[in-house]
Amino acid sequence: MIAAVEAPEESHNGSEVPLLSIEDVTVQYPSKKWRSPDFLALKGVSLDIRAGETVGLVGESGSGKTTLGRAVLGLAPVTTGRIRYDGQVISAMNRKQRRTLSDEIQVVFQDPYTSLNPALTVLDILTEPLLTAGTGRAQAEQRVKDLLEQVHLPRDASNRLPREFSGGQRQRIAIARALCRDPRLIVCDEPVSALDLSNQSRVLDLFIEIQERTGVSYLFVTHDLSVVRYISHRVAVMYKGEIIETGDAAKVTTQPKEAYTQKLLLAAPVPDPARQASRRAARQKFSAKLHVAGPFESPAS
Amino acid sequence: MVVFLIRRLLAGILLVILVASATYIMLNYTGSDVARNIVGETATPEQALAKAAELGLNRPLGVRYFDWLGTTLSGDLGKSWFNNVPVSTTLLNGLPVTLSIIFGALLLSALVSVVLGSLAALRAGWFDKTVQASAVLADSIPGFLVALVLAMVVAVNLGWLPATGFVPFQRSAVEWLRSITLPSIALAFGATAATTQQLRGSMLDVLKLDYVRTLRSRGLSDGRIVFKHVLRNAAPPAVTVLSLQFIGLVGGAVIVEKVFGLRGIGSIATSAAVQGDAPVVLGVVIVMVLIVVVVNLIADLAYGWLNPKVRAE
Repeated sequence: MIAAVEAPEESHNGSEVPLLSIEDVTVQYPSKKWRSPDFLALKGVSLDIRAGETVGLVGESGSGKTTLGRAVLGLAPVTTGRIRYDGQVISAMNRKQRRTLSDEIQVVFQDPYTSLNPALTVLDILTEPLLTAGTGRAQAEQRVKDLLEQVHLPRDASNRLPREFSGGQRQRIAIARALCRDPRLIVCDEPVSALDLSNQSRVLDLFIEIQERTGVSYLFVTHDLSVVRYISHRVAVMYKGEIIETGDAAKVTTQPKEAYTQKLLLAAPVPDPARQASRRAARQKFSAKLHVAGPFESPAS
Repeated sequence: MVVFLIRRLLAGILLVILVASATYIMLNYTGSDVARNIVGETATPEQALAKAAELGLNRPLGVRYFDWLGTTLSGDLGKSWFNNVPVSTTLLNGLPVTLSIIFGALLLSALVSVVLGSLAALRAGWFDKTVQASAVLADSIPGFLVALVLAMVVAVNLGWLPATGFVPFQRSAVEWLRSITLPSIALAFGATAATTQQLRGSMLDVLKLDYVRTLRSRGLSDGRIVFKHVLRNAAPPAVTVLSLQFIGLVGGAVIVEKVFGLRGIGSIATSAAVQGDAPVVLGVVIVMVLIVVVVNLIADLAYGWLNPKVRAE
């Protein structure tokens, strides 16, 4: 196994082999209705993630950002193209082969209320992946103690059930579960969207803290531009199943090149009524000029 | 927990008294002349009246009722009016038969519905559709028809299993199992159909959740995911359905016992009710309600174990 820790500042200078490389991936779902065309969730998407890097994936609902995350996890069928992890093609793996990847790639989902098994205690939730992998029970329980500390949860949390925790705490449990086998890549599917603002920033800080310590990479799916600006090194903007703009996080989220990204940026509210009013006016002027369907067509998920 | 148990048991005892009392009063209005039934057609009216007086039937209903309630609460179920055998003896003879086929059916329903419900939830498409269609079919076919066909085909024509009779477990475990197999299958049909459908539905709900998605992303097999993580969370509604079906099984046992010629509680109850043998009918009712109360209590406890959210404090 290759050592996971690499300095993040070196890792996104573009010179090395990426940890994850998504190459011209198309995901096609067969249509449910008779004789209607198949649904293309992803159309030839390419994206690289380097070790220790956070790539933010933004876009409106239905843009395919969640599908891309699921394709990386092997939960969405890759029709054409391929996904390589550490040089190895993982997009055509069956479940059994996929099992060997489970200490490499992990996931944190949006809703902390459905992402934890309600019948298991926190200890069982966190030891289960370790015991499945063949770790001894005593060792697994020691590991859980460390993990709980890492995600800033009290030690006595392990004997309680998920329902006894708040949303933010549950998300910390989900993060601890993702961390328990020292993955090198975590797919985060809107991991802070279900949390209130103060919890959002605390959980985001936890993600950054973990990355600084372990050098893990994140594919960070979100619809929230301020979140993506805060956490990402690079940002990819998705629209209708395609990546339309990629670049440095600060650049894409402040001076986007693509018209759609500009529009997305203008759609994010600001906490100042006067500025918000002028932005709304700008956005409307912009929409009139622009013929692409905007982020206002469907409410954000 | 202990308080919960005691409360449920007290409520159960109250239910038994209420149901038995209602039965007592209803039996009084069946219109059959019990004393005449006992002494026979050829006896004189005087003999019939004397028999009625002997049984205490000439007293007002209220007096008889409280008299009966007193002796019953003291644990005495009385004797049959027709053959003078203590009711408790009759019940002890019939209970093993009925309980064997009812619990056989319950176990069979639980096992089959877990297998079919899980597979139907996991494999969308023709398998799922077949299971659903069969469930509707099994639910709508009358139990006695299933029992008759099973008895004719498997027992009479093929001769694989006995068509009638019951062998006590103590005499031969294998023969006991053979004698209850067909009645249990016949009885299990409806309950299995209902439980399978419920389990399929609640399983589909759980399979959609993110924690299952997380397990899938780790490449775990369907079997492992279902049995270690999904089943326990999907089971509570199915357990409720199964415990409700249990009451239906008690009723269904009457017909199944008739078809397979088993001398269980069901056949004892029907013949006693036709004759007007009140002590036997009341004994059967009391025992059956008690069993239903206990089974529901077990289902509640299982529910609490399965789903920590509803665990009684």
